[in-house]
Amino acid sequence: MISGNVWALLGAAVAALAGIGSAMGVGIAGQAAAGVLAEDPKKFGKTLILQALPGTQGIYGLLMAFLVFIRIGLLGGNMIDLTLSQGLYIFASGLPIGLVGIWSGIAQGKAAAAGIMLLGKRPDQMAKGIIYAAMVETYAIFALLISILMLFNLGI
Amino acid sequence: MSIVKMKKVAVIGLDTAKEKLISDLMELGMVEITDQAQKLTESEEWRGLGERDGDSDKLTVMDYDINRVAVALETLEKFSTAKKPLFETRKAMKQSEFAKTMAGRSEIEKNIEYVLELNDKHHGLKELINKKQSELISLTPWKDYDLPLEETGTKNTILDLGVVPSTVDIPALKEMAEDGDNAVVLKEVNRDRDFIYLAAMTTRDCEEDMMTVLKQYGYTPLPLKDFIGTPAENMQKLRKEIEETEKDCSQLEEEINKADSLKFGIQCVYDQMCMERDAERVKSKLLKTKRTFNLEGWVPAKSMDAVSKLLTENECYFDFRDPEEGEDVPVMTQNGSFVYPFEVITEMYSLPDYRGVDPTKFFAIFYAMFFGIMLSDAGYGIVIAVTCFILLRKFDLEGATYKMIKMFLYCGVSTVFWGAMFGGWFGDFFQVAAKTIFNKEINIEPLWFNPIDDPTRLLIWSLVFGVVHLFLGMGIKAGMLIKDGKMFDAVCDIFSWYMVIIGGAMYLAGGSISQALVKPGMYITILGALILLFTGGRKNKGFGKVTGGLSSLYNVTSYISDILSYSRLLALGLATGVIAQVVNTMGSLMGGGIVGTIVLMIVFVIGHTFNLAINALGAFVHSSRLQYIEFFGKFYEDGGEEFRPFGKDTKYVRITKDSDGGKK
Repeated sequence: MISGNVWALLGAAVAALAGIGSAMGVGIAGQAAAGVLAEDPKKFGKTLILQALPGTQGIYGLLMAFLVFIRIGLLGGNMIDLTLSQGLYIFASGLPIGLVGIWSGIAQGKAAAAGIMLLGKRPDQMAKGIIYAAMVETYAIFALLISILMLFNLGI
Repeated sequence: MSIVKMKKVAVIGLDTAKEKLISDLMELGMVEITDQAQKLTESEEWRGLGERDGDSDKLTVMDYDINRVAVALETLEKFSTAKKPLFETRKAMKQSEFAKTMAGRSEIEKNIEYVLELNDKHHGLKELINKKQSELISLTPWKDYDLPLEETGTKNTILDLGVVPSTVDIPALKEMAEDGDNAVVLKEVNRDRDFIYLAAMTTRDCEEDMMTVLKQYGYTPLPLKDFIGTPAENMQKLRKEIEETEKDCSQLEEEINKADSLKFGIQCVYDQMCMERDAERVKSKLLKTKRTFNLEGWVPAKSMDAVSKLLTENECYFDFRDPEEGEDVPVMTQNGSFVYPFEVITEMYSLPDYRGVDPTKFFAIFYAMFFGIMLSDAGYGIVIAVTCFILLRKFDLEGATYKMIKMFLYCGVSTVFWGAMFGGWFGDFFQVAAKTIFNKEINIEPLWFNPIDDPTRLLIWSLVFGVVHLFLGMGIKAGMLIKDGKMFDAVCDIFSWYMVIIGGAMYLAGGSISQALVKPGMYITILGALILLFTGGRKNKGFGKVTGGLSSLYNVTSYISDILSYSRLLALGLATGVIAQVVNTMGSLMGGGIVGTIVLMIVFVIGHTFNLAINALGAFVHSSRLQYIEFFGKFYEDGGEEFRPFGKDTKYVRITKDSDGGKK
């Protein structure tokens, strides 16, 4: 029988999977950035900002995983014993940011790549490229919010 | 008053006063001269009256000269070993000082020629190096060939060097070339992936036969005829020559670097030339007859007196008028000292329409507040504020960069405030450090509450802040409607939503404060919804009157999503706080003692730098987004063109009047 603690750790693991989305998103944006840089190496700093944008999903996933660790006392070394249903609750709380993080990270990476292309042609319009990419992030933020609220209102 | 009122000025003057007037206007820098060429073709009245002024040939020459100076400056820039400052700022210079520098213009122009000459020489040397290098590369495969390259045979034999593709089978080729009784020697000197390098020898009689066969197999003779001596000798010679040329090259670079002291003078001349060019270029926007000229432009209403005085001095006839309906008026915004750095956020979106509202003064305080809540760490706030303060002190910044840094200074201060409210000072660094190093428990109490302990509370507050922000945006829209005399529209489209949202909040959440709020909340919501239902379709026709009401009521989804969007205040704030805690926890894993303390410090610097960078970026982006999408969406009319007065548009020096002591 899988214990509650295992499920809780699985929840943390699923949340951390949001990093997949960020890794792919940052990668996509990085390819576009390198292309733009070939034309004008002075844009390095600006492309870097846009490339960093899809990185936040991974951070949210990490954040959620750590919050689970803190809640169940993993970091202190003495993990509390969870019942099976408590464990499943925590597992469920990891799902939103884990799943949304993956796809929103990839989508944001594409938007950021387009923003980098925009930067290449019209450097003055860079702020708008950033905003377009940030629009995608909204949904990752919402998912994180749901994850956090689920975890904090479990009463563990 | 935040969008400055503009007046259009029309001027007619004598040709003799034109140059003086243009230079005076440039000095004043308050008139945006508009192009009038259209008038000649479009307006019956103006057709044939005059012609377009300006001399495009002269402009081309001026641009060419400016380009040459720019190349000289680039050259100096490229080889200068002086450390570059973080921000390129214009040096402030008094008019009289600048004039003094300009007095030595012919001297400076000689310097420009000197730098350009050095640059040409440098290019020449670089080319020479390239040429020699490619010769070196072409010789490399032959390095084991030990005959002089100029050798082409003896009295009875010939010797030829060349390549065949690497797929050719040499013994078979040799047999073919020998054709039974010809004496042929094919020596393989070298081979690489693509070619086999051959030395082919035969008697003079058989030369033709051999060549025919070889060429059938793709033999190409190599043009190494210019070399004298063996390849090895030549290569050594070339290497030495390249080395020497490179030495010359770096000597030349050193010389250019030494010429760096000439840079400032050249920059002054560059700016002077640009100003002369601009003065010439602006003429193309004027109209002229044989003895007069006509100029039109926009002037901020407050500068009318200064402009009139100047025009009177130059004996011009002029007239001011208000902008006409439908005319594109340039936009200049003017805000108080706290608000105006935030203009950079408005400018990033798009300037307001001349007849619209400048939103900067409304959102400035919210921008700083949201930034603070999202970064929510007093330690980070101090870092940002102090950095910006030092930058402002140290650099003579102008324009958008100045505004941006100043804005971040305010945002940093706001972050300190909210960080203190939430009890975040580099996360829980001081608590962790005290515990790990000194084994003491200290507690830094938040002034308000810690969101990690009670996220739901901050979530509710985030939404409340959001509703206030949105209501302000809607209020501005209502104000605009009322100003236009559309009181009824304001009630139907704005105040009804106030009722729905306030009533809804009372109905849903008021119960936790007082049960008495619930019932009235419900009635207020229903009343608001009824107004929407019955008036939403008032501008439609027929059946649209019914569906219009329903669809305007359906907008409730967009209001809900707008309000929920502010939950990012909580999410991003928590992200900063938790990651900061994680960093501190990781740093404390090595325990106390000297090693533990050093590890803690290293982790502190790296971890918090990263967290600050990524979250400051997030706070900046999402605070902007809340303005652009949620707030601007409620009322903002953009699309104005920036007011660009004709003035001294210099790149390197900021010329100030002698009287005003270098102020901006």
